[in-house]
Amino acid sequence: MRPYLAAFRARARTVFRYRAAAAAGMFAQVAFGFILVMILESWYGSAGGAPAPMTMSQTAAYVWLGQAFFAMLPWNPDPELRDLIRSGEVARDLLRPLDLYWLWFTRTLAWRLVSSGLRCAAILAFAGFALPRLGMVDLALPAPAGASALACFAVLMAMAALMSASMTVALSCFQFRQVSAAGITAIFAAIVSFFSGLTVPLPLLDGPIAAVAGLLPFRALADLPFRFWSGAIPVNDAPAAFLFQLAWLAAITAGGRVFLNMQLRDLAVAGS
Amino acid sequence: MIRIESLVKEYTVSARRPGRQSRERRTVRALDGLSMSVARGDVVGFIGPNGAGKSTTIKILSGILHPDGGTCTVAGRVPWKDRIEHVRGIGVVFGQRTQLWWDLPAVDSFELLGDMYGVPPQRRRETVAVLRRELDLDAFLDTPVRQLSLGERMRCELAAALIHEPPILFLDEPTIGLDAPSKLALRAFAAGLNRERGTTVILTTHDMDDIEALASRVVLIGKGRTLFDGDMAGLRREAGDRKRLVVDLARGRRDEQAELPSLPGLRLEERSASRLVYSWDASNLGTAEVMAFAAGRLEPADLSVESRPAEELVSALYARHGV
Repeated sequence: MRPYLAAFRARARTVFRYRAAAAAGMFAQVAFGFILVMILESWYGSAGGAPAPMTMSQTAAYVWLGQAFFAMLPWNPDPELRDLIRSGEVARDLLRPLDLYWLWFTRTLAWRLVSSGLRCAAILAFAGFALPRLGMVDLALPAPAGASALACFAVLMAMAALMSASMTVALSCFQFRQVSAAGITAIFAAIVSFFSGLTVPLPLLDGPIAAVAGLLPFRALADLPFRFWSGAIPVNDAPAAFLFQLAWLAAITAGGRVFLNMQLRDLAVAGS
Repeated sequence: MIRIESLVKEYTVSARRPGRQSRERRTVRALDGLSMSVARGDVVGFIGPNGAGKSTTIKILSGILHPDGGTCTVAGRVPWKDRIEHVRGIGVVFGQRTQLWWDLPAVDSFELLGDMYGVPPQRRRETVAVLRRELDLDAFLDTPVRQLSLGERMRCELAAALIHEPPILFLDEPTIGLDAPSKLALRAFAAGLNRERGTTVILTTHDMDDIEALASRVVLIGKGRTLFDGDMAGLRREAGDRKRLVVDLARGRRDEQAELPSLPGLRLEERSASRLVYSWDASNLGTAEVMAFAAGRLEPADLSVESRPAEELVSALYARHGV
């Protein structure tokens, strides 16, 4: 474990060196969150009290948690892996007595966790403490529905972090084939942010698109844990959600490993 | 220690004719049946023009690339099949790449590398203490690597490659871009490592001074094959070892007839007011005979014998082999 912890520490330290970027990202997330909750609130208001899949308070929790943990979603490949592959420095990683997949996995996990960790506290504090005191109780992040709801949220978020790392590594592997992953990233980012619930909360969807969203792994990254926080899903359903995550995590990890090893067989490192 | 047999590696490159959209793929053979072996404690220098296959060989030997044919074993292991165990026993320095964390001080990288190789912290601290003394790292060990000069960084790279005390060290163009003192320091350090710890060193370079200072054996690679394998003296013979005699003349009357080369195989290359330059093939004519000729027939103020510079030697060899 120690070698992989070293990789984790190394990546965490470099991310931590870029705190200013995290601060800038935070402001963007707060602004986005504001716009989203205000749109949804006016939508709830105009619905005239018609039965909705989630209460406004649950929806506000959903939106703010989404903004707080935005950096944890696998919407882009790790820029460090991108540079490694483009420049051929990937050779350096192959010189370490470590399994390349798990090396990249731990490193990506460190990146996702530290960058969302740096951002989330301030966003949660703003949405949970500042907004109610500014008189915007309807738009604020409510407290978790209970201690057990919070525990479910924590466990599912931890699983979501692992899933996010495994998806990011798989996405990064496309860069072995493509000179630039900008195209595939753009497509993937749209898919992830929609099907995880970051664009529109998934419970507000209807029809076949809702069915598709229910089957895809992306909702396990955000939608599922967020609904446990607010009690929109009862605690009793937590084991099923956990198994859903576990199954996808196993599948994506296994697939990613096979994909990475395929790329390594044909690896070419030009120049000296 | 290292055994390479008819190693083949091919790369696919795309080519596009000017003005056409369609892309063609072309296969380039970087290694074309390369064979050689290296014994424990050897210092072997790989030379060859750009694109000869030197770096490809190093990358296969260090487990980074999979070859398309042939076999090789390093300390009994096939590098690309048994990569994780294999890399525990090797240290690699790429002169044009870095293995240090760009944003962190070198000392942090040493700690992380120690953990990655499973070196106990106490042992790592001892190794680092020795390396920082021998490589004189103290002044910049706490500076983020991106702010180091090339010479400082290369010394850190060398230390980073040795944290786990590997018995085999690969140096791929380690002196590229370095100033003279850094080159000398690096060579002296590598030579010491070989002498004192018996580290096997494989070196690729374009700097023939690296080879002359370090390598007991030279392997010339061209077009993915071994063209020469032997010591420096053998390489000189192979290239046609011409020596030069430079005669600085005393002022006064000159006997132009006496200055003409009277020995078979001796050539007069240059003739000016104060200087004569002769050249000859060292395998056919002895230096003593040439000196006797010069002392007897000329009135030299100064004499000096020069071997052909190694750079010229290898250029002649590259030209001869058409690489």
